[in-house]
Amino acid sequence: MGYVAVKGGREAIERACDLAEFRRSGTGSAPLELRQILEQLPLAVDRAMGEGGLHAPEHAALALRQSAGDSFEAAFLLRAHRATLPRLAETLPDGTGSLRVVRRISSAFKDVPGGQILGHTPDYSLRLLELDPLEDRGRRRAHIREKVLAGIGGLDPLPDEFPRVVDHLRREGLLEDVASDDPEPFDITRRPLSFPAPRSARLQALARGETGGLLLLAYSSTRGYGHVHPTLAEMRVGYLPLRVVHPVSGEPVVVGEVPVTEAEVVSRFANTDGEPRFQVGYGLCLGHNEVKAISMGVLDRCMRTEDPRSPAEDQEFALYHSDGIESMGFTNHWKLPHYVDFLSDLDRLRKAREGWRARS
Amino acid sequence: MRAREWIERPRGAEPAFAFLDDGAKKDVRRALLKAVAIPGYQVPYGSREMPLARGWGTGGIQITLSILLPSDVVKVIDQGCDGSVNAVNIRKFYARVADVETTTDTAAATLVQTRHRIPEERMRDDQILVLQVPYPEALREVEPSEMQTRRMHAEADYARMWLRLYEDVVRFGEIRLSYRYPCTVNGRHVMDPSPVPRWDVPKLHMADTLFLFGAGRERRIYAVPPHTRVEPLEFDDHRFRVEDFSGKACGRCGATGTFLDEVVLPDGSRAHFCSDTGLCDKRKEGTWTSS
Amino acid sequence: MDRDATVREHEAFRNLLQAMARPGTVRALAGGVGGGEAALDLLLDCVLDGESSLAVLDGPEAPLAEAAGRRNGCRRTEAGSADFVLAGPEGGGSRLASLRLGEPDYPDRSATVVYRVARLEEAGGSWKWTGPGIADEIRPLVEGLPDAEWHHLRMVNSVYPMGVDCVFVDKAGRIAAMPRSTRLEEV
Repeated sequence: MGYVAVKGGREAIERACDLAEFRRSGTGSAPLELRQILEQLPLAVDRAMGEGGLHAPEHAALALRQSAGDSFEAAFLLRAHRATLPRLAETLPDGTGSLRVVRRISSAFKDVPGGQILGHTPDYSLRLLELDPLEDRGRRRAHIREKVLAGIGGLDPLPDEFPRVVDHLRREGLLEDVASDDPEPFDITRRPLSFPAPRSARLQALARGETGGLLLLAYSSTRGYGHVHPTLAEMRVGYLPLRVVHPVSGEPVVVGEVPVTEAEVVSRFANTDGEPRFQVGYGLCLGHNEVKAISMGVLDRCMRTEDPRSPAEDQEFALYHSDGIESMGFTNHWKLPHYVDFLSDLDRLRKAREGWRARS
Repeated sequence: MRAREWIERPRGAEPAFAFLDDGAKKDVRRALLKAVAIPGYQVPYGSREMPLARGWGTGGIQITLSILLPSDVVKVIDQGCDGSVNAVNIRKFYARVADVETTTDTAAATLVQTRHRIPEERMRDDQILVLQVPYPEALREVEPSEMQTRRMHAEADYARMWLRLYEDVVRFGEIRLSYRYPCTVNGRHVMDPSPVPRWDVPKLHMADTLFLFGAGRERRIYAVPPHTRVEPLEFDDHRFRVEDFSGKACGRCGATGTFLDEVVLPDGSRAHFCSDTGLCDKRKEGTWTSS
Repeated sequence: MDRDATVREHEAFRNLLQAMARPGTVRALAGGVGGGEAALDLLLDCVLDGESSLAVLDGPEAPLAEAAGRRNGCRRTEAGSADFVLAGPEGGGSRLASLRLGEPDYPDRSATVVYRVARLEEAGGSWKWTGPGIADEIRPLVEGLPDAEWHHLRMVNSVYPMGVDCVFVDKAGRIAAMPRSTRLEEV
């Protein structure tokens, strides 16, 4: 018999890990420094933090480097790392009124109190790939710094307050009331979801959902597979201060701030009983990720539909399938050996074929 | 652990035994107790992320890490094989975080963790089998919604599963289900035995050992205690049948009566070898004795 | 928690798991753990934390529950909503029916009753236990509980899969368990 059962699995695995590291360590280029990733690829860092569910920028940069840029892997590394950390405290519940805004827009009104603050965004740039390979990046950086910082002393400061657009609509009685069904926030890192899920659980799951998955669902609901016709009432990007109770003094204390993106989506009126009102959806995620926050706002509203029909409106469908760590892990698991399962299937097929041949 | 404890913790503390933090272990343990108390019923639990990806055995790993003892001798297999990628990785992990002895010999093990097979050698009452489960819900085949399948289990309403089996018989003359063959446990709950082949299902019935099932990604734990009825769904005129290996034997050790892997050789012919490589090794070495 | 303490909890839980999987069998909770109270404390510590709740049925058990709360962070609640319930020599009686028995869709959301008893033996009892985990039958002796308790347990667990599960700890630090799947027959 020429066949020898495959052994040496352990060595093969170790070599495979070595080869993966070899591949991402490069040959002639300078090794990536964490600072380069943090400073020059901040959106990748933010996305990893948001999907991993852990605010830790340096760890996120490390994860991106270790995963060779694979956003699923990077988020997974962070999520798994988070699971090893002790939980020391919970922050005090706070609204986002204390958000230190760096970008704030509303599509619902031409102008709003506090103003349309465009902040940093490529939204209005022409998407032309900058192809000059000989460009001196150092000189370019010096130039843009000089341009942006020149005359900065003469600018008006940002307002202290940005009154919420939805508050304005709410005061006029134009917005639906959203029932608060769970005064105590659910904790999806400790308890499994069961359905129907309380709103805090849904929002948590969306907050660490995979951006592409959430985008797919939200997009589908705006293209007919759903009833949400959204207007972006307000989107804010900024830094949210976090307060905890000091372990010794017992007093609330700000321990730091985290970058977040917040979106409030208002949708065409659709309620059939009572006074007609706009519907509202809310999204908040770690890091600067506008597509995700907007998608979250749309999906928040979708999942409260009284008559769910489309996938985006089905809580179970949306929440069970939008966690990137779960979906990626399982999709990748098809690469594991399944030869016993397959043989079992073959056996069934052969028996069925025997039966079919006997009958025909 | 609260902030104060963490600030005041002794420096240079050793890493935790068996990796998981206490909260994760206790969550699993509470679920295990209920799972054993209600055989075949899926108990939801928190399910922490592990350094292995979801879908690669995190549920089985969480169970093992929550019950492991330093004195345990651990065997880990995948598709019956100790040398398989998944098994090797997990075994490495256990050796690292719990310093346990490992083995490829089922008879020498106190705890066996497995993906998709049950060892051929009958397990004893001092052993535990931990199975890795991708789909804990047997009824998912006929119903995508968890809310609905919960209801079906609550009412012992398994009509749609029976209907699926019946439709198979009518259309193909055979029940198509191969692995994940649904079984009634303790005369009450229909359970998914995990993707073990039909061959292995009878091993669950009135066994001496405790079987624990962990689905990490789906966040469910279930169990079959020893001496518990596990009965595959079947019709009087279409009984449950295991895979057919008649006329075949292991090309390496000569065994008949074990589940055989089918391998396609370079010349296109087929050969068969024991899926249970630990047993095959023992038979080959002459160290196996039937008990 | 140091490694030895961790390992001791692992050992305790392993024995608790086997006890629940083999109803009526009696075993030490863990090596080197002495009398009943130390064993009870270890039993509670190996499964309880801030995500779970503990109640008592009678006054004498209250200090044990408070100590458990301080050690492992479990929440104290009243018996009707608790995950774990401590019972003393009087047992639960008719109060068992008011404990959490689970919901039809989630029978696991139910109580585990931990009984402090005088003595446990694997034979000599006046009730026959059969069911999952029991090869044929077992008649354990649970000394220190009124006989009526078994009638109440049988009635409460007649709603299987809903019901309660029981763990017994005796003065020598030995444990036994009875899941709701056990069928009780008076002999």
